[in-house]
Amino acid sequence: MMKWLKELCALHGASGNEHPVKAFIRSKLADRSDAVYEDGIGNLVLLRKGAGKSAKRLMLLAHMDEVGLMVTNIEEDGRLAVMPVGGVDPRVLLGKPVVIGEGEIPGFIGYQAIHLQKNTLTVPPEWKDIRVEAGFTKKEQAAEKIPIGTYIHFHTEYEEFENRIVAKALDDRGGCSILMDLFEDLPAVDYDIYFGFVVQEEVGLRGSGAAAKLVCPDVALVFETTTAGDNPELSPARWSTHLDQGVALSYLQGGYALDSRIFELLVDTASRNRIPYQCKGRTVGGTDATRLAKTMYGIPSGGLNIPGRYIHAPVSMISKSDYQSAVDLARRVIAEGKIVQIMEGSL
Amino acid sequence: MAFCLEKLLEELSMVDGPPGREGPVRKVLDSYVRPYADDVYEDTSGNLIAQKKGKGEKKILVSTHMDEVGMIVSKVLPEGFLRVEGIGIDPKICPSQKVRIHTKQGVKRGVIGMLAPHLQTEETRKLAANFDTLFVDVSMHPDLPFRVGDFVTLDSKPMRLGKTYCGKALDNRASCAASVIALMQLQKRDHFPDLFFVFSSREEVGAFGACTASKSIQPDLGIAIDVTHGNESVPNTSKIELGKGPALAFGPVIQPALFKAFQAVAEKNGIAVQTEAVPGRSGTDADMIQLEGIPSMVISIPQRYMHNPIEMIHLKDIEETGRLLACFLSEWEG
Amino acid sequence: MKEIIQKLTEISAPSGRERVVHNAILEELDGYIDGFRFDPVGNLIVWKNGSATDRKKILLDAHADEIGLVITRIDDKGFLRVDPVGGLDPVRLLGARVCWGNRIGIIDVEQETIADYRKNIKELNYDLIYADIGCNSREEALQHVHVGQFGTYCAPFVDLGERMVAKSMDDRIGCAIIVQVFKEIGESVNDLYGVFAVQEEVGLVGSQVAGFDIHPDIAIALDVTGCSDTPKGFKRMDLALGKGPAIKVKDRASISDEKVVDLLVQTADDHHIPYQMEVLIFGGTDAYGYQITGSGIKAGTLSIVTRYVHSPNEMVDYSDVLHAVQLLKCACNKNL
Repeated sequence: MMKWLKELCALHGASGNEHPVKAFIRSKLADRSDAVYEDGIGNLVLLRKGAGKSAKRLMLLAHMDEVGLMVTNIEEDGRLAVMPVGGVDPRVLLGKPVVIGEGEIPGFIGYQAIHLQKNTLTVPPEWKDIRVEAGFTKKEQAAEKIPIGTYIHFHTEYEEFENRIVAKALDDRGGCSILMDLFEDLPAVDYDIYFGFVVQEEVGLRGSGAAAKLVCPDVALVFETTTAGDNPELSPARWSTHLDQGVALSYLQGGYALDSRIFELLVDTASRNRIPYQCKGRTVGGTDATRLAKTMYGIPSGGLNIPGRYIHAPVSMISKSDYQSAVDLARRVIAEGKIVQIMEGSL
Repeated sequence: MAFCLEKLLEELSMVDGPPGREGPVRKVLDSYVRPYADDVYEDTSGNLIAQKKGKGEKKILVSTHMDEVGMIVSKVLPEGFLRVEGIGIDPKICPSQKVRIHTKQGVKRGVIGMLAPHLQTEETRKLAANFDTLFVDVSMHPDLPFRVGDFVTLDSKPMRLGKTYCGKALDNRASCAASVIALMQLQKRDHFPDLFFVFSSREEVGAFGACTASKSIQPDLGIAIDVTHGNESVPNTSKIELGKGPALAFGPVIQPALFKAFQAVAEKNGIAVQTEAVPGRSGTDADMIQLEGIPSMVISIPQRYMHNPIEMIHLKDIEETGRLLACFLSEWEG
Repeated sequence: MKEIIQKLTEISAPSGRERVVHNAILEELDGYIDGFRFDPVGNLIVWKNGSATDRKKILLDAHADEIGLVITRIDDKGFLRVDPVGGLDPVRLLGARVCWGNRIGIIDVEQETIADYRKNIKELNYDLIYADIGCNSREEALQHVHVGQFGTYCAPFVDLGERMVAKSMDDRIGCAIIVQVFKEIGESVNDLYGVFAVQEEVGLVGSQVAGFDIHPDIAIALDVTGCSDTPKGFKRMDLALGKGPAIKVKDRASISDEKVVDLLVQTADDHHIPYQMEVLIFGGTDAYGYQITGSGIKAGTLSIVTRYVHSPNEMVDYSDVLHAVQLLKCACNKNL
C-alpha cells in the first residue's frame, strides 16, 4: 500500500505543469497497461482490459495537479511577484520555502519582520504583499534566470508517522497513489477499467472532460483528497470529514448530486464488508465528478475521498487508515462488479 | 482597393453587435473576408466562419469574438424612460452616455442621464451608479417604440489619437481586424493545415460561440485572440504596454509547446512580443476551446480602458498581431 | 390541467432524486408518445414522430427536479443539520415545513439570547439552522431518516381559481405544460422531443447532456421566471401574472437565440395569444445546456411568471399556463 505516494508528493506539478507527474506514472505503469491514451493538454489514461465478456467501461480518476504559484512580474529589487495557481490562501505562505521553475531554484517567501510592523500587526497579508526571495538583487539578474510565467511549487519534506502522512500535494497525489495501488493489485473482472490521471482540476475541472472523451466510459469513480476541517477552531458540527473515521463518501457537492445509485452502492459495499467509512458533512466544493456528469452523453459518477487536513497549503496531512479504507472499498467495488451495472437498475 | 486598417476599425467599431445579436457585425466581416477565403458561412451558434483550405489533414482554429458589451431593456416606463440590465458594462461609465436602442422599428437614440450638480446632496454625491438607479431617457420618442428585450449599445464615435485608435468595441473588433489582416497576408503564402477563422458569438456572456465551434470543427489546435489590459497598473500582474507588440499568454490554459512555437516565430520574423502570465482561466475563447482537450494559445492585443465607451489600442499592435498570426499559420507544419 | 399540476407539484423530488416524477410523467404520457428512454445521468427523453416530409426536430425541455435539503448530520438529541440542494435561501425555511419521505421536519434558528436571535436572522446561513423531526435521540431519528437523505418543502397544492399555489411550480409547471402539449397536439408536423431534465437546480446539469444524440433544430426550455407585480416589487423588471407566457430574451445564464424568440413572438401574434417579453436580472434555465451542446442548438426559453419562486408557495396564473400550451402547440406545428 502507498507504494508510490512519497515519490508522487515530491514531484512538482502545479496545474498546467503536470508533466513530471505524468512521466513518473507513465514510467511505472504504461508497459503493464493494455493501452495508453494521451491528449494534447497533458492527460494520461491507462487501460486494463477485462476478461472480455463485458463491453462495460469503468473509469477511475484522480488529478495529477497540485496548487502552486506563478511568477507574474519581476520587481525592481529582484524579488518575484506571484499569483496563485488554483485556490491558495496567501496566509499560509509567509516564511515558507519554495522551488522555482524546472531548475528547482530554491527560494522562500519572506515577510516583513514583526519588529517593523507598526500598523500592520493584525492585518492579514494579501497577494500584493507576497514576494518570493531567490537571492537576486536586481531585476535584470532575476529576469535572466526566471521568465515570466515560471511555476513555483511548495517545498515540503514528506514525513510518515504511525498513522499519519505529512506532505505537500496530498490533494490529489493521494488519489493518484490509490489508483496506482489498485493498478498493482487489480481484481480480475470481465469489464474494462480505465485509470485516468487528469490535469488541471484545481483551476476549474479542466482536464477530466477531455480525458473521458478519449475512452468514453459508462461510469466513473473520482478519488480525491478532501477537506477535513476537524481542528479545535471549528466546532464538530461544521467539520466536513474527520481523520481516522474511514473513507469519506459524498452525496452532494458543488454543481452535482452524485449519482444516487453509485452512492448507495458505495455505502452498501462498505457496510457489508465492514470497511470504515463516513459521509462528507459539507456539500460545497466541486470535484471532477461534476465535470464528467456534463460531458458528452453524461457520465454518472461517484466519489471516494481521503480526508485531508490543511489542504491547499505547503503542509497537509492524511490518516493512513483512511487511505487504506479507500483502497479496500475501491477494490471490493471493482471485484463485485455491480458498479458497471447501475444503468440497468433504477435511479 | 488598398486596405486601410483605420477604415476597417472605424467600420468595426461603429457597427453594433451585442452578445447574441451579432448579425450586423457578421455582415461587415463577411464583406472583408470573402475575397480571401475558400468558404464563408454562419453556423447554428451565430459564428461567422471563414475557411481556407491547406495542404494537409490538420486543422487550426483561430477564434476572435465579434460581440461587444452592451445593455438590454428590462422595463419601459410610460414617462419616457427605460430601465436596463447590463451585459458586461460597468454602470459607472453610463451617466451622460448616449446610447442606441435596437427596436423592431429601427435604431433609436437615447441618453443616460444623471441629476445635475445643483440638485445633488452630500449623500448622493458619494454614490456610484448602478443598474437599479440608472435610466435611459427616450422621451424624444413620444410613441415609445420600445420593448423589454430590445438591445442597447453605446453610442460613441471612434477617433485616431497619435498612434492609437480609440472607440467602442475594440474589445474585440481589434482582434477581428488582426484576423482579417492575417487572412489577407495568407493569400500570398502557403500553409499546411486547413484554417478556420471563427468570428465567434457571445464570448462576453460565456464564450458560447467558441465552445460549439471547437466541438464541430475539432481542430488540432486553437488560437484565441483577444485584448488584455495594457498600461494599467494592477499589482502582481505582468506589465503589458501598448505599442510593445502582441502579448503571448502563458499558463495552464496555454499549451507550453505552442507558447514556445509562437515565441520562435516572433523572433524569427522580427516581431516584438510581450509575455503575460495567466495562472488560471484566461477569460477568452481559449477557455472553452481547451476544455475540449484541444491544445490552445492566447494572443492578446494590449488595450487600455477595457469595456469603456472609448477603448484604446495601438495600431501597430494590431498589425503585428495579424502578421504574427500569418507567419505562424504559414510556418506551422504539425 | 389542474389535476396534473397538482399531481406533479405534490411529488417530493429534489435534484438527484427525480425518478418518482419521471414515473408519474410516463403514466400521463402513456398512449401519447412513440417512445422514451432514460439517458446515463437520468434525464427522461420522450418523443413523437412528425408527419411532414420536410419535418424538423423540436425539443421541449422542463426540469423534473426541485430545490431541497439534504441531511448532513444528526446530533445526539435527534436534531438534524442540513445543506441546501440548489438555491434554497435559508430565510425561506424559517417556519417552513419540510419533509424527508414521510417524516415532517420544522426548521428554526440557533438562539442563545434574544440578541443572538436578531443577529442570526440578519445574517442567516445554513450553519445557524437545524431541523426538528420530533425525535429525542440520534437512535430514534435514525429510525425515520438517514444522513445523505434528500428532502423538500412540504406544501400542498391550492387552487385559488385564476391562480394556483404549490411548491415546485419550478419546474413542475413546465413539465405539466410539455405533457399537455404532447396530449393535445394530435398529429405532429415536426418530430417532437420532450426532455424532463435532471439536476437543473444544482447546475443546469442534465440539459448539458440530454441533447447529445438528438440534434434538434431548435430547443425551447419551459421554466418559471420572476415577477415584478407585487408591492414594491423589482423596479427594473416588467413581469406580471396574467399577462401571458413570457418570451425570454435574457437571463444570467444565456441569451435566447433570435430565431427562437422570433418564432415564439410571430406565432403568438399570428394566433392572438397574449404574451410578454422577458429580461430576468438573475437566474438561468436549461436553454444554456442546449446552446453549448455539440455544434450549438438554437435555444430559448418560454417562461411562466411566478411569484415567490423558491419558496414553499409559488403562485402562477392559470391562463398563462393555458396560453403557454396553446403557443407551443402552434409553434411546434409550424413549418420551420
